[in-house]
Amino acid sequence: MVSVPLLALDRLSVSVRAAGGQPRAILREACIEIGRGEVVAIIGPSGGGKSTLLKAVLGLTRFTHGRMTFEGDEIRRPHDAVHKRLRAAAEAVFQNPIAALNPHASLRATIDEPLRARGMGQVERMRHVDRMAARMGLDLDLLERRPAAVSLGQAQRACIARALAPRPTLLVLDEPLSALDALVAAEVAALLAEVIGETRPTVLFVSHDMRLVRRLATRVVVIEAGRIVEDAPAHRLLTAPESAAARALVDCDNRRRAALAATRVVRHRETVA
Amino acid sequence: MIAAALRRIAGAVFVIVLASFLTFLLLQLAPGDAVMAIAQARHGAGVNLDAASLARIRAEIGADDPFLVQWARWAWDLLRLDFGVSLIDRRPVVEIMAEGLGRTLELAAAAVAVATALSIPLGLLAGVWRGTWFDGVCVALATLGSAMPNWWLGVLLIVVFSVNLGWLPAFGRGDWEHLVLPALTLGTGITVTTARLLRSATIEALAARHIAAARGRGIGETRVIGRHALRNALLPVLTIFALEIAFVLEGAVAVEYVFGLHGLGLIFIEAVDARDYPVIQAFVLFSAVLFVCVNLIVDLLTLWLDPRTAEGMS
Amino acid sequence: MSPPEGRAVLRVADLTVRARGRERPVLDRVSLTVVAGETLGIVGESGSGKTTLARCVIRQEAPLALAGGSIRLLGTELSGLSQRAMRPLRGRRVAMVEQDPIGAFDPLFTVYDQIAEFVAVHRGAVAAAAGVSPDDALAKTFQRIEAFGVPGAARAARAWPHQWSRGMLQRALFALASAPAPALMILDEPTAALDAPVADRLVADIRRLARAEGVATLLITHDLGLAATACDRILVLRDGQMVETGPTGALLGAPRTDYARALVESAAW
Repeated sequence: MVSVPLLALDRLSVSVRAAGGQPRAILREACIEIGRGEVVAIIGPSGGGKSTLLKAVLGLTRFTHGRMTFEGDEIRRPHDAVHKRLRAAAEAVFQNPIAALNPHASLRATIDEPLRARGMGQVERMRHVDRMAARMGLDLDLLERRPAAVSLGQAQRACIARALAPRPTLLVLDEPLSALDALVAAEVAALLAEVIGETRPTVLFVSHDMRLVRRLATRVVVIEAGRIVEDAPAHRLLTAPESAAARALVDCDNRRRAALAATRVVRHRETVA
Repeated sequence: MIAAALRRIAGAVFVIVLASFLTFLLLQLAPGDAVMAIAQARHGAGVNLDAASLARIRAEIGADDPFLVQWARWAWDLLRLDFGVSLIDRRPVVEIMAEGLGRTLELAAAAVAVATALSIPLGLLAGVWRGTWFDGVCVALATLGSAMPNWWLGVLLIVVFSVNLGWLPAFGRGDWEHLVLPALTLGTGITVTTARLLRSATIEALAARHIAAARGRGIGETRVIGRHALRNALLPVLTIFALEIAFVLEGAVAVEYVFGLHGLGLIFIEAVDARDYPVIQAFVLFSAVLFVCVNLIVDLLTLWLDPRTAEGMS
Repeated sequence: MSPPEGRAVLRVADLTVRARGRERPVLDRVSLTVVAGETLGIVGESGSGKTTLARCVIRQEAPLALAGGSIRLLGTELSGLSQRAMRPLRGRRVAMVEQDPIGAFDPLFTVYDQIAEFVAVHRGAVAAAAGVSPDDALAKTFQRIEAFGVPGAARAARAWPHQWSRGMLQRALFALASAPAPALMILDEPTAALDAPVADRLVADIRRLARAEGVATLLITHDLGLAATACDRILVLRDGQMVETGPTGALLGAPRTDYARALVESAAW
């Protein structure tokens, strides 16, 4: 039996109309099939269409050509039945946690919201929010605060807790570390790897940070100038990249690691595939 | 850039056509029936008119034609600058308007010159020297200026310079000396608004990162302020300044009255008073065209000054 | 602390900076020395005071206020200088490149206008550094921008800043900053807006140039990975205080403080 991919993009294109009236292609004929349990990283130069791909999947931007299927059913237009099913099964974490959070809601209400939307009972929800918060290293008294009263790192932990609490089938991450300071980013990355390991969602994420790619991804898709130029298992891409864009990123990462490692004994933490 | 400019020009033409529709409608709604008026003029008032002769007159002046045809005929007359004759003194409306416009233009040009000469340096420097005594004096004067009616300043100037000192004529029209006091009065009014706006726009422009970056590169203050800060600050002020000019061109009634200048403002007031519809109509159209043109000029200037607007940014 | 050898270009001693109405200083008795041809990395998290330090050196710290200590550039004390007195030094003796290349250009003037403006102010120095006559300084500057990786710079410069990419603008700024042969270059998170491969190449270019021409460089960054590849020495700042300073290898290999160790750990994972 051939298993149906969770999400499939078939020659998906997105273009925007520039002010001059000329349509400009941001994404050209992207084909990706994502199976259940895969952790797919999307990398490539900025402005190449990485975030646009995520937005198209989440229905935040319309695609102009091509097909997208979820669990084998085609999404024909935004907000149709299949798309609603996808939205119900997916949760997302974005770059800037402060912008992503409702400024008037406590962290508890924020984490609770997707659970309530899924009709979970109140007592169970309360317990679940406490458990998720503890898992993400958030003190319980922090949960009663609003986003403005917590640090950037704590806000991003809350965003991740919110995204993972309803055990989504699909987790989408858009540069989840780039607003965070180095110390906090390292902690959040470690937590993210742990909870993904525990709950095993299918993950689609964009990051310019190759360390996060090494840490999380089972598969890497490289996008440059709107086109997918490489799509390979993570271990292959990280050791023998074929496209110039991937090679530049991997080389750069290796150089930095070498510079950091040359002077000290690095404690080895291999990527869990 | 050129495409964006053409789009704006097309938009302006569209608005003017729309305004002419509205004016035409207004005219149709005005009291008094044109057919009746002609009939009475031909056959004498009070005569009982038969339906046939009324119908003949209707056909003659095209009163039964479709709205668009009537409008087109009317608009064609306007394009040939035929606005009809005044109901009061039977002079062509164009002649009356042209006379008023001439006086108003003279006054407006002088006032705008005064305003430009005063508001740009005052607003810019108050913004640059924010918080100093100079800024304090400017803000105080601006507050005073906006609190007191413009015509009252006119009266004050007449009392000081004409009555007490006897340096300048108090009213009337003639050589440049007659223009000094009204231009000062009107110009100060525009200056108050514009300089205040330019001050805050300058403060904002100076806070931009690129100003600090230019200073960090060793670019001198004269260039940093006179070129970069000024151009960035003028952009938001442009619209208001242009609207102020449009208001003056429409006729500054109070100032015209105080200085006895028979400009557009007074002509309009008199026409309204006398229900002189052809003049009112011409005036309404003139206002519409004036504001559309001013807006268009501002748009084109902005397009030229700020390249990002052409691409729909900022 | 290993005292650097060579000609000291910048010597900061016990620099203290305060913000109005705040008890804690933004910078608290910070001292450092940068010699010709050397790159010193200032590493810290957000709020550590590293950008304030950069601004102090070109005396653009306002609205903060210097509250003590000295800043000596080529032996000249800067801390008491007026903005007017600082002007001839800026761009000429000390150049600054900041994080956001788009913000460094006035959006209402073409790139060409702003490059020509810079060259007009520093014409003598640019011409002397390039070994050409003052008349050729502008053309030479565009060649320099091309050498930094912007092909056809002189033609492309007729466009507006928003029509250039961040990478191109930042390359142009690097080329401008180095054109008058300044004694000190301050790079404040110069690559934060760029992709890592682009950033690394650019920083490598500037470092090679700095070494060849004996320019002292202050590289301010939150990215220890960048500092590891680009700096001779590193100073770690936290909450306005110096935590640790030393040669890059020693500091990364054997950090002496817990904080520096934690930073190193957080960079290599």
